[in-house]
Amino acid sequence: MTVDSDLELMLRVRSGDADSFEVLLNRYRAPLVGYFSRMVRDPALAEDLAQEVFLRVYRARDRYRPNARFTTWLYRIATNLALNAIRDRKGDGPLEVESDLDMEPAAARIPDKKPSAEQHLMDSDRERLIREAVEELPENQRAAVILHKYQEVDYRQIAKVLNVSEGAVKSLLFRAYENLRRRLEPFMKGGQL
Amino acid sequence: MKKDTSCLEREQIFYFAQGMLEGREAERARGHLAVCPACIQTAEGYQRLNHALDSWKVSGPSAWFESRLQATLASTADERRGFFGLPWGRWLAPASLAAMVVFGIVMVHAWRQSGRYSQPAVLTSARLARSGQAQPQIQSAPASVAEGAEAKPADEEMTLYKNLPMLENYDMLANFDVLSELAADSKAAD
Ligand SMILES: [Zn+2]
Repeated sequence: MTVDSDLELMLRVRSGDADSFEVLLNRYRAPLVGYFSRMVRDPALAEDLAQEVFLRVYRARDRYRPNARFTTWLYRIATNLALNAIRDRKGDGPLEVESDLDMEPAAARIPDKKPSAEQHLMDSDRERLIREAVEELPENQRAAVILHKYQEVDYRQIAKVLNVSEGAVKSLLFRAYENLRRRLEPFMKGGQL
Repeated sequence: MKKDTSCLEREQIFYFAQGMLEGREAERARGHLAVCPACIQTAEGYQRLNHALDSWKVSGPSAWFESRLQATLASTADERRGFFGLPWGRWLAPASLAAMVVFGIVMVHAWRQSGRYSQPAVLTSARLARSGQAQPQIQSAPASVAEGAEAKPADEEMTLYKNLPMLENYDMLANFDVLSELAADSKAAD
């Protein structure tokens, strides 16, 4: 099972096995870049942050504890970095990202699949609607939804990542999805989503 | 307390739809959803939302992600223990390999210039192994050890080896506070 082999790999990394680190890197590189891309939007920043996570994992390998699940550890580091990055970008003012909505360098975005041009346009509209809705969520809700929906992290594990109770995560997710539903329902009814 | 026939709260429907209900709560939700069109509609609303959220795709890692990380790791490892101690051989980017070669040439040159014999630590490790002494975890000695190892007895070299993990830990502690939180959290959870 993935969890066990992550653990085994990390224990091997701890004793100096470079190949095991490479396996972990290959396994979590895309998920982490994806996580950061959704958390901070900027693809270059997302990649920098993902690099930083791996660097920290490597540096902290001696202190990895088998009683903490590897992905919990990974996403905890990642979430801390992402939330700090969001706060840094926000500064003291109101929410950050609305203004640079269409300034994302298109060339830097390599879609997971290759849709037709028309399909791509439609997908872009859908993506934009969803992205805006998620970005409007408060930080914790945003992190919880992205972990839950896109990273497929179980709510119990999200509780450990965010260092809150399971009940708090359930409630957090409910509020987040309710916010998203309220925001996106008109588009769903209008057939845009 | 509500009767079983009353409608579910939105929150309960959401939890059920997301597989977050267990036991009696899950049973009750399942039973009610089997007979209540209004609650089914709410549940279907969450399903549609869930489906809509699938549309948000993001870019994968760039082609240079790995080489960048390799270079950073190589330079980090170089700072920490020197290239000769690295088990990361096939990881190193070509530039780092070139740097290793140049570094090696310079070291050999410096050694010849000095006219003093500083036994390469890799050989020292092999010698220690032959003489039956315990081998340290690292595969070969870091350059810093090789530099400081001249004319030192084997036990002093071993002390240097033993001190390395401590130095690494210091470096890590300086760079990584999240782990201590996690450790505390794990203890609390246990
Ligand atoms: Zn009902």
